Amino acid sequence: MGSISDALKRAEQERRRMHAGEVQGVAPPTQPLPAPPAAPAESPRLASVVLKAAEKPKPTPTTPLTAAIQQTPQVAPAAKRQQEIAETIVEDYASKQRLNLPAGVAVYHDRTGRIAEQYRKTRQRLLEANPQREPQALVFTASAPGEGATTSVLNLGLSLVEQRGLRVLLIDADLHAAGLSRLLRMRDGLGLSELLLGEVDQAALTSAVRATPWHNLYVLPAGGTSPPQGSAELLKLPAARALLRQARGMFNWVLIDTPPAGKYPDAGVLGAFSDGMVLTVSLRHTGRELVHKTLRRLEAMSLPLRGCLLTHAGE
Amino acid sequence: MTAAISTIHISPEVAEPRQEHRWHRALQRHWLVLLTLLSLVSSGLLLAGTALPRRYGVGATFALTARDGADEGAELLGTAGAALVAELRTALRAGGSPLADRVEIQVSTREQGRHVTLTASTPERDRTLALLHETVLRYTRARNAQTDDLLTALRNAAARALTLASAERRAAGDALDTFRIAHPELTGEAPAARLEKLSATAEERQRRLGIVNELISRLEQHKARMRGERPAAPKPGPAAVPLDPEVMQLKAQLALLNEQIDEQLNQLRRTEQHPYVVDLRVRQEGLQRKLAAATARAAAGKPPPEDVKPVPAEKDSGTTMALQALELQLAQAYAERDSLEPEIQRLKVEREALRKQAEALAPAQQQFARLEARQRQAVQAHEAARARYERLENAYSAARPLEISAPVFSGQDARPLAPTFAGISAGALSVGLLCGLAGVYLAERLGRGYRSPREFHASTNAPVLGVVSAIHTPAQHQLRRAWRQIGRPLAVLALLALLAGSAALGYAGLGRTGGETIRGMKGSMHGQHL
Repeated sequence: MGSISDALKRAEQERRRMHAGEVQGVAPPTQPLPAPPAAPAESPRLASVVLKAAEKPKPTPTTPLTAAIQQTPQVAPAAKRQQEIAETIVEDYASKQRLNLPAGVAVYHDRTGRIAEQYRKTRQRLLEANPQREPQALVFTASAPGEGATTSVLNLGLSLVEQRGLRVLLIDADLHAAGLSRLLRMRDGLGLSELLLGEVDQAALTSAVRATPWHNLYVLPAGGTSPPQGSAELLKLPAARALLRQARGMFNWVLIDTPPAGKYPDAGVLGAFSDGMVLTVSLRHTGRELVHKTLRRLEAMSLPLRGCLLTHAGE
Repeated sequence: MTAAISTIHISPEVAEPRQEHRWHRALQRHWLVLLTLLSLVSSGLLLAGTALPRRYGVGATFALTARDGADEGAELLGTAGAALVAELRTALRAGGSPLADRVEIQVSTREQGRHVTLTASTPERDRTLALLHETVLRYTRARNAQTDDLLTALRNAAARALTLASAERRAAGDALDTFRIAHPELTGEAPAARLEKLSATAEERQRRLGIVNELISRLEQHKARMRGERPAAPKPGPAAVPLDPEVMQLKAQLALLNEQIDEQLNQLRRTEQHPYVVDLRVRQEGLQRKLAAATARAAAGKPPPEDVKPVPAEKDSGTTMALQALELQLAQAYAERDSLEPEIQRLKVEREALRKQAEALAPAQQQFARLEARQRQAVQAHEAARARYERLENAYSAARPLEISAPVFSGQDARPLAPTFAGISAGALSVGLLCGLAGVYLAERLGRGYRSPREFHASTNAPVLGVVSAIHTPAQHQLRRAWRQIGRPLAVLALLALLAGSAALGYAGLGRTGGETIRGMKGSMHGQHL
């Protein structure tokens, strides 16, 4: 138990420093950190715990560790605080486990693996290309489904939040498949579609953004409402531009997962508001003609192509 | 919104790989495709090769040994063998497979005698050996029959030819003798030859007459010149010693002859080769010899011959003697001319008579020449017919003792002549390799995606933000690992085993049947005296 207590202490200290903006080398966002919806707790992580508890009314499976904590009667305030932190860590672990992420999320499943390192290299290139540390909104798209855009968005988000002080928002703008929401089990509740249909302000964004079991990683799910006029028309609304502006004020990196550009125009619509586009290309599976066609389309729309992320290499 | 992020250019300049590198990389990537197609296609062709129509070949050799005069018998066997081949081919054509069955007979001469080699090839192994067996039997049977029949026929023909040649020779001789009796003038020297000789003699006499006439004219001129000269007064001195008259005459003749020669050479500009000069030189040599003999005789104190006139004791005795010599020589020349002219006239008459006689005998001579040529041809034909008859007589007596040894069979293993396993293997492997390379090319050519980030960049010129390997689940990882460590080696082994097995089956399939049959027939043929 001694090592667990030490770990809890270090985690608490780190969280306090982050809240106080003590992290050096990272520009704090201009907007205050969004408070997670229905999160009475002080920290986002605790808020996520509450959020998870609210979303999933089923009792969390008790582990021996949590059972031991819960059975501790009449603890002192400091000890109570430590106990809450411990519960939070345990709950985070359990939440991640409950997500049952696929093996493709290599940054989570195999942190020291080759693929996680490749995502970190990509992350490093993105950071090096942004020496001013300005908030960035990047649109991730692909030529065809199945090229790994959603998985890459999640992996890049996870690798970005490994950097201290970076707050990352993942927006599931694929209103057709909602792959990212499905991946993180956030199909229910408010999301992007509801947000765009209403008035977008900080409060609305804060109410729609959801925390994840990973620190500083937030998700704006696709939402449950089907747009009557089509997803592209919905994304063309001024609310989308306002949403991205709000998101840039609250987060350091905004990664937007969009449907395939060769199939839907959504990526092009959002790319016009973003800081750049990243085209995910499956090396072996995507046809050359399709890639060329997508690139020509992006070029014709004068969209800022930041680069291509080549997946499925080395098969 | 700010766009402060600079455009990312990560990939360096990429050049398209060269053609040989493309093939190298393609083979590295798709070697299993190559091996698979190679194994499958080659195996199929190896197995299919066993179904190709085959040709089996068997050879047999037996010796024909002879005691004496084997050469003539062997010569006949060559003729008999050729006739037998034609007969066998006719028989085989009647058997129903004239194109597929082939039998060849070759007769060669070795030190031990004649060797007959038979080679048979058919699409069926058993049929091949049976065909060869039948061929050997029929050959030996036909050889014996043909040796007797053919030799007898040839000998009879030669005898008939010899009889005809003898009759012709006799007829030619009789005709020639009859003609000789009828034309006895043709038996001696031919008139034409005599005419030719007579003409040559007449020409020689005519030439001599010309020389004598010229000599006479010169001598007459010399004589006239000598008579016109005055002799010089002799100087006072001791009394002249009486000289030998023959020596004196000869010296005078020689001096006269020397003057004539000098005149011919210096005044008339004649050469030594002129006939008159040659004649003078001959006379000069004769006089010199006579002078030497007379001088020797006078030195010995012997008297001169009686026909020599004594030298007159006059002051101009030298000139007189010279004149005497000249007159003597002139008299001889006149005498020779007088004898030549009638002879020439006689020769002309005789030549004219001979010419007429030759013209009258020309047809008879031509017929006589034809009869002589006919007789010569008849003699030569008779000699040739007699030589052939004698040779055939010898062959008839020498061909009978020929013996045939037991045939030795060769090339009777179970492998067909065609197709061979090496040929099928080479063809199958070549086609398999070509198919494999074609498969690699198609796999490389028809691949939809990109093979590498470099190729992607070279193709699109788009910046590459990052490269992520294929993500697999643990189960997929295990499956891929199992494929790499177990499945792929096993697949390679299976393909190689398939190839080797097909080769083994193909090899065995080419010689699967008939081996025992051939061995059994070999045992039945071995040691059989034909």
